[in-house]
Amino acid sequence: MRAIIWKELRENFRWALLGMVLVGLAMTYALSKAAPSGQSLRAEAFEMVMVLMTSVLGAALGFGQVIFDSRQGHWALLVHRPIGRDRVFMGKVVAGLTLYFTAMLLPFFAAAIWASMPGHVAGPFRWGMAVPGLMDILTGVVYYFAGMVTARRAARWYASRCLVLVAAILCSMIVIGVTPMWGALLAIAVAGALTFTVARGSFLAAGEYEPQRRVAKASLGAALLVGIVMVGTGVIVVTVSMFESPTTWQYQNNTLLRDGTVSVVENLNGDPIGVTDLEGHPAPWFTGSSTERQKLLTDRRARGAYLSLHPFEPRSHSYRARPLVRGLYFAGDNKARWYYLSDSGRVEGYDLRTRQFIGSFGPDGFVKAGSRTTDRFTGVRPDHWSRNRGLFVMTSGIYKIDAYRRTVKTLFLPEPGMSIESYGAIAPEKDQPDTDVLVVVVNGTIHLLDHDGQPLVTQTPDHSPPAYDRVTVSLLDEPNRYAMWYYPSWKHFGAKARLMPKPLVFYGPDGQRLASQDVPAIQNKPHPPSIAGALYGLVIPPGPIAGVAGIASLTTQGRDEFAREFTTKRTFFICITLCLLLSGVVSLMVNLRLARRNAMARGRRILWATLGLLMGPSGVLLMLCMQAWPAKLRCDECGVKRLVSLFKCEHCGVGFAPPARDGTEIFD
Amino acid sequence: MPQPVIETHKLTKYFGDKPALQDLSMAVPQGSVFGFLGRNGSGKTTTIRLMLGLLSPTRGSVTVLGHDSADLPDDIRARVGYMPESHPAYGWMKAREAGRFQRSFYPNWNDDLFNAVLDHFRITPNTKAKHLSRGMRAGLCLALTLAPEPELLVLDDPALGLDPVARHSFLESMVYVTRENNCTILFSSHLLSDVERVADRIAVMDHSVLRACCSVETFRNQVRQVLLRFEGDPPALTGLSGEPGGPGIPGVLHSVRMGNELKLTLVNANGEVDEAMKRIGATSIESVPMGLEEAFLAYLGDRGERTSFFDHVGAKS
Repeated sequence: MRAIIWKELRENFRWALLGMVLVGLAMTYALSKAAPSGQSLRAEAFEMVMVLMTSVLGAALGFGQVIFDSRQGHWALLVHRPIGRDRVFMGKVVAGLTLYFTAMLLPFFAAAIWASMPGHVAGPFRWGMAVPGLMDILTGVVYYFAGMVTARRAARWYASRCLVLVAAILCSMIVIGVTPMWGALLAIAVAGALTFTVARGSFLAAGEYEPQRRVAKASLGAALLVGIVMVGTGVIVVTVSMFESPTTWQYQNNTLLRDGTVSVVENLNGDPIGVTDLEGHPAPWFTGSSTERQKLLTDRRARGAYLSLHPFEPRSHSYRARPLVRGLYFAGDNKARWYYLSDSGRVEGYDLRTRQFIGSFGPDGFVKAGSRTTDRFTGVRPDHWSRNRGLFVMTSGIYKIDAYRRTVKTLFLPEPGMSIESYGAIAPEKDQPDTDVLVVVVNGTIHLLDHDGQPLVTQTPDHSPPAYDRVTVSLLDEPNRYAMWYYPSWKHFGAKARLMPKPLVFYGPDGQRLASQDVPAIQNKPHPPSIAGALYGLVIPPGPIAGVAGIASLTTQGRDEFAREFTTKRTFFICITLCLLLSGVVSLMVNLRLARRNAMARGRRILWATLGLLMGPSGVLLMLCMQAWPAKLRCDECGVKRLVSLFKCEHCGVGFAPPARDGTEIFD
Repeated sequence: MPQPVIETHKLTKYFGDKPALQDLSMAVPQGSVFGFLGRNGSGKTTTIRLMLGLLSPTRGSVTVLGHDSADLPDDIRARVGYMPESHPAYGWMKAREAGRFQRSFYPNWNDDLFNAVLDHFRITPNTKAKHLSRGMRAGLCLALTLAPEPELLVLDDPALGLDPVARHSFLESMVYVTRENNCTILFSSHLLSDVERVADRIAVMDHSVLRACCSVETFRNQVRQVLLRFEGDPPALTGLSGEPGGPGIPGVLHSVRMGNELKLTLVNANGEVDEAMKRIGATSIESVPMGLEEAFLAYLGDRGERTSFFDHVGAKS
């Protein structure tokens, strides 16, 4: 096998070198665009380059390694030797992957080392930033095997050779979108094992289907099915969208006005078109043009902050978006870029011109480059809390950072041993920047603070989790009051939460409870689905849909939700179910007929018929593009067309007549 | 008859709806030099690829050295040398590197033989395969095929594209190896003179069907050409295209009319044929001598009746 590895390395070295140069150039371009703004390996452009180059280089190397040896003379030259095709294949894989990883890893690590050197990027560097890129490089292995299959598989429809590459694209999508890193590794391992088996099977059988082993056939089927479903979904979405009429989206919602009254707002496609009180009387002030009415409603709406009453739980970040380094924006400082580094607990600044480290903020102030603050920010920094510019909100406290003057001011610290559970901010009045109000939940108590962190009021909520888990805290005028509007928990009440009234409680400036009311739930009619949408049922796989519905019906919540959906979209549901059944049954019959006509064994007939029923038209397409379809000749005995691959006619059992003799044959 | 080293049984191959090989049953005896003849597209290369397990048959089977070719074990493959048509080689490899590469797979590699064949074709070991002339590349391929000292040598149109001198060298090497090692050779070719020189048995393929499988002598004896003279116009014969009526002569491949003469190419001629020729009123029957090449061309040429080209010219003028 060593000789094969040497031959493959020598033969494909120049292609890998070319790939490495192209990858290097693409990375250099992406970094040159990203570095001035303080980004490197995590820049969008760089990640795009990684995803594209790993897939293209992987697929090209796999394809090239096999296609050049697939020409008839070269194929014989390669495989007619006493080591078995399996070892030839493994030799190719070892050499191909060595070249691929070399071509990708060398420029990638060069880029990482360059980005880690001071003065190159106006931002901090952590080796953890390289993880998404390494994942992309691993994903390239899937493309490598998919490229091999594309080059070697003899396909009835030439375009269907590329379906395994489409399946590799799904792997990329999972690797990019999945939350935990082990999920990405698992996706690569599964897709890699699948495409490896398919590539090996195709190589050993010289691209033909029938000589392959069962496991190779099953893997090929799975990979092709994924490709067919992905391509099919794209085609369906485009086709059905052509038949669907433009949608109108009309709904009602409650809004709290500054005077403490609750109104019902009628919206059409997101624009308010009518305002009434809870009894249905139209608001006299809601007049004028669409823009004027929108402005009137905005001016009268109470300022508020919507926040959760549940204690903050760190979100499970996607491994690609792990908050190693998070950019911050501090108004008034356009010469530097600031980042919060969770591992050091400090806010670090970099000069945008020199791209050098300036210094860092801790809770105790700013320290220039060369030394460090004695204190560090503790706790967690939830991204969605820190919307206010200049405010730096952690679970351990709220700080105001003036990056221009290099000062830090502590606005709020919870009692020792406690932490901020939830945070929100009420926007300031127009043209009055100092009127914003911070809303903080500590130990189940809601604190309202002014923009300097001075307490305005502290309130124990009337309703709390688990029954009520969200609240809108609003400021009301004339007289000055606060309102807290509680929302029933979906987790606690299930689908019923949608129909339950929402308690609204008013408090005086001193926190005294003034009044309360239950605002009835609005029951918007769901947007009626287009009947054209039911046509999806003709083409989407019925089996997985039935599986998902079956799993959902195991829970009470799932059953309730289904019952509600069915009541409101009865016609649509009946249509789509009929379409699904029709497509499943027709596909079953088509596959069964094809299997019978080609005299397949009983087990294979049942398999294809079942696949037709479960996968619908995708199952038929899979059968057509995967199976070998031998030619047919009319039988001399029974007159029916018979397969050339069988010695005896599948209809009458008579064998093929030998080629006709005309007396000119010479045999001794 | 010696034990066959290759045996095919009802071997059939279809590419899509097109038959490339139909019901081929034949045997290649051990120690023979077996010429595999036929026109382009008659199924020679497909048969060879099926024999070596490079293609899988639509139906039927092949055994090579006693093993099913669909799954030839490594030790059997080591005993079979194969030279594909058009002499493929890795262009970037030097002749010496190609030898070193090939040597690593074969336990019986004969370096002296490899170098001798390179010398014979005047190939410098440091020359890259892509820089070799066509004849030299064929020589390199032959060296790579012969050096493992195979028991069975399968050569697919080995002389294709070679000039007469290179062809001669090539055949010399081939004959040398056969005689020295008692090796069996199966080779396909279009060049009848080459086959005549080295082969002791031949198989002839025509339109994917085996039409002949016999010794060279038998083939030469069974294909005959006769010139019949008539007093008037020769009669139309049955069994030839466009001639439904009239008398018939068994085994007629084709006939050419030249005035009151009829030139017939016959196969498997016997007493019955001679009787039939007399019955149609020929005043004289004269045998025309034929070489193997002529016999082959007559055997595989278009069948049917033609009028002499000169008669056409005469009619027009």
